[in-house]
Amino acid sequence: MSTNEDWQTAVGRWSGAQRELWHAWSHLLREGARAVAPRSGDPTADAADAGPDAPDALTARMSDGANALHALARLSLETWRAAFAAPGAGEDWPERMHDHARRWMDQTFGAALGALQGEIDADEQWRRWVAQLQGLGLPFLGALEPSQRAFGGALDALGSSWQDTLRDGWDVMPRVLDGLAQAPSLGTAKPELQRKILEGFNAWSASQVLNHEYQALRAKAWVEVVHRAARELAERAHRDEPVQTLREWMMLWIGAGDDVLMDLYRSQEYLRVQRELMAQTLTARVRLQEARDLVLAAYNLPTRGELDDAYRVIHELRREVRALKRTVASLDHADADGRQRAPAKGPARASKARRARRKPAARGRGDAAKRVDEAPKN
Amino acid sequence: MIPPGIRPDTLASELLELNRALGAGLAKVGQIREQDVQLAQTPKDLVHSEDRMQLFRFRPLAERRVATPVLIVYSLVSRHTMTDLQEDRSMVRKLLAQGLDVYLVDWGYPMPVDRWLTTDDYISGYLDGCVEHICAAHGVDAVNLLGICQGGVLSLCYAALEPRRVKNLTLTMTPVDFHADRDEDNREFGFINLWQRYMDVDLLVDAFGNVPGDFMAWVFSETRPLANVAKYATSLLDVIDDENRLMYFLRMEKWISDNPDFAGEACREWMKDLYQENRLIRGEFAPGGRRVKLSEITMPVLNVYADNDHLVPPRTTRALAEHVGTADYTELALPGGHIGVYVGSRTQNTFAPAIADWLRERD
Repeated sequence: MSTNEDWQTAVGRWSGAQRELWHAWSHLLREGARAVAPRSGDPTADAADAGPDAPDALTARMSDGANALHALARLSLETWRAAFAAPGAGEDWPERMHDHARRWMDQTFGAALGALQGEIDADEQWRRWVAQLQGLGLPFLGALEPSQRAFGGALDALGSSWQDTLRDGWDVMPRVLDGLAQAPSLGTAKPELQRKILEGFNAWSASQVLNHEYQALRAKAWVEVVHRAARELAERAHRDEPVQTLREWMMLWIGAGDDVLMDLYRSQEYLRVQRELMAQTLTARVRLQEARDLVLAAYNLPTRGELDDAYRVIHELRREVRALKRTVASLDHADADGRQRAPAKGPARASKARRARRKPAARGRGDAAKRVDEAPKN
Repeated sequence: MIPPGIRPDTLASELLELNRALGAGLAKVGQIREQDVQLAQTPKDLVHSEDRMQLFRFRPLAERRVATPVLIVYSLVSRHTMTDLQEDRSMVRKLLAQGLDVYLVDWGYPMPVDRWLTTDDYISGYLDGCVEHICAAHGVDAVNLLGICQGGVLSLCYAALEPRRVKNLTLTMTPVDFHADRDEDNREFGFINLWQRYMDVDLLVDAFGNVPGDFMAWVFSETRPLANVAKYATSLLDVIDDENRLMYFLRMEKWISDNPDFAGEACREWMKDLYQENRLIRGEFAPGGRRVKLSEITMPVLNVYADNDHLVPPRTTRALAEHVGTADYTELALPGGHIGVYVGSRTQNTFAPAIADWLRERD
């Protein structure tokens, strides 16, 4: 049996084993869900009804995921086959690859040694080296391009399969926990705390599904980065403007990467996933904070919520003080204007002195306001 | 797919050069300590403070040629140190050299207690306090406001709400129409506008209180995701064996990583009222219940924008022209990006002098 066949058999067996594993797992989960499911007539009965089917669907999806992985492995083998000719002629591909590498070494370094010995000039040697490299590399790279597309497709299938799996599978766990949370409370149990924790967990589990979707989008984008960079390299070579320095090569990749990622970041799909992922992550954080506050309150310790309330009151009071000071200042100005319109010897001087006393208070805003240094008048 | 046509001798010489630069650069980097990388070193004095806000006055570097003092109002989400990065790349020094009396607001770093600070607290509270202080100290009724980016929006609001307190208004890289990015042809422009429209801002503020500066920094870095990381393999290696350029690079790095948190309620208003609902240009933005009418801006306005600003696209800035109430409105376009205009070598001798000339004519 050739190595190719060995590999295919191994991957097939592995896929089958995965399928069996998921079946066993779903059975276990189904039994668990039945054990804690509320009785018929309960508002949460839907969860119990959905229970028996959901694990089967889950298993099917898990199997899909394993199959997708199998397909991916098969595609990878096909790529290698395309890169190294004649595997069907009975030759084993590792042997073929070994031979290929040996020839490459001989031709490249053998010629280089020749050049060093003065048999071939450097330009001729360079021309041969590039021709050799292209001759060796083109079939492989040519085969790689369709395989990249296939890889992207497989990745997509795998990703969506996983997303569905997570969506269906992880939905079972909150249902189980929800059943527990709805159960009668025992003694000192805190249903409110349980509810907060459960909501936090639900948000977190939703965020995990979305995170997978988010990562799948990014992974697909990176496949596209490879495409775009390869296309740019080819176009430049055809225009007879090949990349000639390491710096140029790196900048080409950076440009391709930024272009593709910018397209991704502007796509409606990415914006939706990012928004939902952020929302679920933040919701989990908020619920965790609320649960923490409940625990702290139980121990008569100050909570984050209480501190926030205190800060809010301080700010509201300071705004009121600021508004009052403005009112006082405007009344003061009105008073001063009125006295200027009707001057009287004694009171005018008294008023001026009073204004001088009041001025710093009117200028400062709030007790925290202070003048550190009087800037010189100019 | 064709392999790159990199010649071995070219590759070898590139690698050799890289090796040489790395060797020389590492020797230099090894001698530099964090305290050597100083920003904002132009001498200045603290003249007023409130909570975390501090008002500084720069010491003069030339004979006064503009009587009305200038107050620089910087953004809340990054640090003013960018305006005075180093001696030869300092907007502040250039303004001082033009004979301006320059003040600067440092908003400080919001703490959890500041999560309820609103835009109005910044405008009618801290900023108004600074203007009051300067007016009292100089015996004048109004100051020249110079707003930078988000600080430009604060200045714009203040000028509309308190027009008698502002003699001349200079805005630099200031967004006004937050939806005008939709009309930009360059897809690199307006990325921040797009993302902010899609954010659940209420949840963000409820979850964090103050929105972390690191989160804002991440959003900014995603505008050019690879280039912002690859710079350590490109730009840094280009300058690593040149002490002056290396220090400039390190100062920029220090500034970029210095991101104050964004006070929660102010952030909520900034993102929802401005980025999502575009209330400023529609005359519906009302910090503290006072509606900002751009038509109330009757003092002279200089609106400076960068022609390659991907964070604040030119269209979002230039929209102001159709809405201000003044007949004395001037636009100045500068070559460069959002930050490059302030620190780049191309604009060092044009940016600040142009502002100074404009102010001098209206003093």
